[in-house]
Amino acid sequence: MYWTLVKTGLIRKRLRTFLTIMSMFIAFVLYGSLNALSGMFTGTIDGFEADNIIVMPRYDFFAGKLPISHINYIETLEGVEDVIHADYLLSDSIESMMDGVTFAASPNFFDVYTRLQTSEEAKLAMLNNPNAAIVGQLMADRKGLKVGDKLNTKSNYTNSDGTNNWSFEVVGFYKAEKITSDELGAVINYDAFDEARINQKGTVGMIMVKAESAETGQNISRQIDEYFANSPYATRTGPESMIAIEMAGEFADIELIVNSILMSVFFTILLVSSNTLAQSIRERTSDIGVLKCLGYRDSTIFISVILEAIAICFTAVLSGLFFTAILIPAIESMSGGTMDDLITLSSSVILGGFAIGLVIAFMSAAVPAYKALNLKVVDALRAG
Amino acid sequence: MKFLRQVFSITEMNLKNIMQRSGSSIVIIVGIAGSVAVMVSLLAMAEGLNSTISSTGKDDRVIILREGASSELGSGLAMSQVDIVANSPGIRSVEGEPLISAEVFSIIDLKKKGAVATSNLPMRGVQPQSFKIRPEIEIIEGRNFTSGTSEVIVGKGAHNQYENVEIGDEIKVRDSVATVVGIFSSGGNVHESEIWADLATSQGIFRRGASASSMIIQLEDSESFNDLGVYVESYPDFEFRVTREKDFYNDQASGSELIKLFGQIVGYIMAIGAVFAALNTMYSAVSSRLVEIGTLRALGFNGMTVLVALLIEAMILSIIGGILGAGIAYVLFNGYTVSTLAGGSFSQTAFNFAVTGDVVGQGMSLALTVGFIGGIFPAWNAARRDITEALRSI
Repeated sequence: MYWTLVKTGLIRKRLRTFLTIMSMFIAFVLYGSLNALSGMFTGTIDGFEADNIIVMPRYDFFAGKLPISHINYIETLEGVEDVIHADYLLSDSIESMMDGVTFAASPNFFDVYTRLQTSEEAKLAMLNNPNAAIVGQLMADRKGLKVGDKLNTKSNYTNSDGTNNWSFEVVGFYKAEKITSDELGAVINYDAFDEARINQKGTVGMIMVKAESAETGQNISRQIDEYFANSPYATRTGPESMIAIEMAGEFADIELIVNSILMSVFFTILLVSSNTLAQSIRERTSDIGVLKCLGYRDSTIFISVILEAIAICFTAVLSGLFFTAILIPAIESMSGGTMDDLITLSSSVILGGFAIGLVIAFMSAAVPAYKALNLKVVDALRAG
Repeated sequence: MKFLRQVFSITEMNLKNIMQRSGSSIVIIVGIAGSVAVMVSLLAMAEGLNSTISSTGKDDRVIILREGASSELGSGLAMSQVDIVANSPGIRSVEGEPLISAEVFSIIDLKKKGAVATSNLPMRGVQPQSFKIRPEIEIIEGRNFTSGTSEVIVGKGAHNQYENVEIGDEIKVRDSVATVVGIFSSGGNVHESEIWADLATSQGIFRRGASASSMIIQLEDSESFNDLGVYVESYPDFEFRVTREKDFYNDQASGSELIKLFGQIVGYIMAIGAVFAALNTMYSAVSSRLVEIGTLRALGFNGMTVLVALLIEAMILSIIGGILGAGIAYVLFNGYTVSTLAGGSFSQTAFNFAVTGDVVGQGMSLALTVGFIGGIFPAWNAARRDITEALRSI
C-alpha cells in the first residue's frame, strides 16, 4: 500500500524528482570527496606505524638536524630494542633525476622501519656497496630505473669533490604497503654519505626507536624529550602518526578555512534541495485531500509522504557516495600514485551521509505533510 | 522595437509577481549565492597568498643560495664567499659600500595567540645593508635593533599573530633570550611574518659560526644580472645558485595555484548543483504560470518574447545571488588575515584574503552561467507550449 503511494508521488513530476535528486547528488559527492580528502589536511592518515617512535628536532621538523651523538643516550634507555637514524638529502628537482627525498639511513633501517619493504638481496648488496641505493618502486617505475643503473642527484649537501653532485648505484627496490607516495624516494648508506659530505657532518634528520611495547614507547618518548629539553638540539618525540598530525597542524589556518567554507557549501545545497522537496509536498495539499476522501488514514498518508522524501534523499546519498567511490581511484591514478591511500572514504563518513539524508527527509517533509493533514478535507481540496 | 517592448512588459509582470513565488525564487538566489561565495572566498585566499609571496621579489634584486638548495633553509654559504661576491661588478653601491647582505635564515617557535602548542616562524639575521636593499622595510613602532645586541624587531604579521611579542617583551629564541624593540612593516610581503635580528647575533643563536644561509644583492639595474652571473661563474669552486629574487619568490608561490585550482573545482561542482536547483525552480515557475503564458500567447505575444522574458527573470535572480554571494565573501573575508605553512620556508606566513575585481568577476560569470543554463531550458519549454493545451490546464 505504501509502495503505491510512494511510487505515484515520485513519478508525479518525474522531472522535478530527477532535478531534486541531482542537486542533492552533487551535495553528497562534495560531502564524500571532501571528507575523503580531509586526511591530507589533518595528517590523520591510516598506515603509519604505531609502535615505532620518532625523534625529531624540536624546533624545525622539516629542515632541522640532531647530532648523531643523541643516539648514545637513547640506546641506554630501558625498553629500547633497536635504534635507526636517517638524514634527508633534499634535491634540486630541476637538475636531478629525483622527484623525491633520498634517505641516508643506518644499515638496519629496513629491519626497524618495516612499513617499507625490500628484498634480502638488496639489503645485502647495500651492506657490501657503500655507494648503493635502494630505490622506491614508484620512482623506479617513473624513471625506468633498473638494477645497476646510476641515480644522479644534485643535493643541498656538498660532496667531498666540492660539488653538490651525488651519484649512487641502484641495487634494489623497496615497496610501501600503504601510502604509496613514500615510494617516491631512495635509501642510501648513511655512513658513506656522512663521510663524503663536507657540511653538517655527524648530524641526522631523524632517529627512530623500536620500543618493546607502545607503553614503554610513551615512557621513552618522555624521557628523551626531558633529557634534551635544554640542549641546543632539543627533541620532539612520539609515534609516527602523532608527528604526522603535528606536521599537518602547521597548515592549521588553511584547514580551518577550507573546512568552514566546505561546510557552507554543503549546507547551501542542502537548504536548496530541502526547500524544493518541501515545495513539492506543499503543492500536493489537494492530492492529500483526495486521499483523505478515499478513506486513507492520516498516519498512512503521513508515513508515505515521509517515505517518499526518504527515497529521494537516500537515492541521492547512495549515488553521491557511489560516485565518490569511483572518483577516488580516478584521482589517485591521475596523481600517478602519489596520493594512494591518502584519500579514503571511511565507513563513518558513509554512515554520516545516510544520517544527514534522513534528517533532511524529515525536516523537509514532516512540516508540510502535517499541515496538509490537519486541514479539513474541503480546504485541502480547494488548495489545489 | 515591438519585440523589446513586449519582452519588457512580460518581464515587468514576472518580476511584479516574483514576491508571490518568493519561496522558489529564493532557492535560485541561495543556491547561486552559496556557490559564488565559496568560489570567491577560495580564490581570494589564493590571490592573497600569491600576492604576498610573489610581491616580495624584485626584478633587480638577486638571491644567492648554495647550489642544490631550493629554499633558504636548506642553504649555507661561508662568509668569506660573501666577501668575494661583494667585489662583483653589477652590484649597486651607496656611499662606496656595495649593497649586499649576508643573511641567516632559521626557524624558531613561539605560541600563537590563544594557542597551547607552539608554531614555527622564521627568524632572519641581517646586515645593515639589508635595509637599504629592501626599502619597503619600515619601522612602524619602536626602533630598529642595535647591531651586536640581542635585540630583535618583529614583522607586523607576526606581531598580530603571536603572543608576547610586544615592544619590551623578551622572547625565547632557541636557548637564548632576545628583546623586542620594534615592529616593522614591509608592504604586505612575506617578511612581515618574520622576526629580524642582527646577523652576528643570529649566527650565535643558531650556532652558524662564520656562515650564512643566503645573500641578497641589489643590482645596478635589472640588466646587470648577467655581469654578476659571469663573475660568480669565474670562481669554479663556488657552487652557487644565483636567482633573481622575483623568480625565486614566484617559485615559492606555487601553493597558491593549488588553492586556486581547488577553489575553482569546488566552485564549479557546486555550480552544477545550483544549476539543477535553478532548473527545478524555473520549471515550477513555468508550470505554475502556464495559464498566464497561454493567455499571453493568445493575446498575440509570440513564443520568443516569452522565452526571453523568462530568461531575463532567471538571469536577474542569478545576478542577485551572485552579488549576494560575492558580498558575503567580501564582508567576511576581505583583508582577513590567516597564516599557513608556506612552501620553501616551512614556517608560518601570514597573508590577507584579497577579494579583487578579477575574483569577483569570476564569481559573477559563474552566477550568470548558472542563471542562463537554469533558465534557458524551462523558458524554451514554455515558449513551445501549445496555446490551447496551456490554457486548458486551468
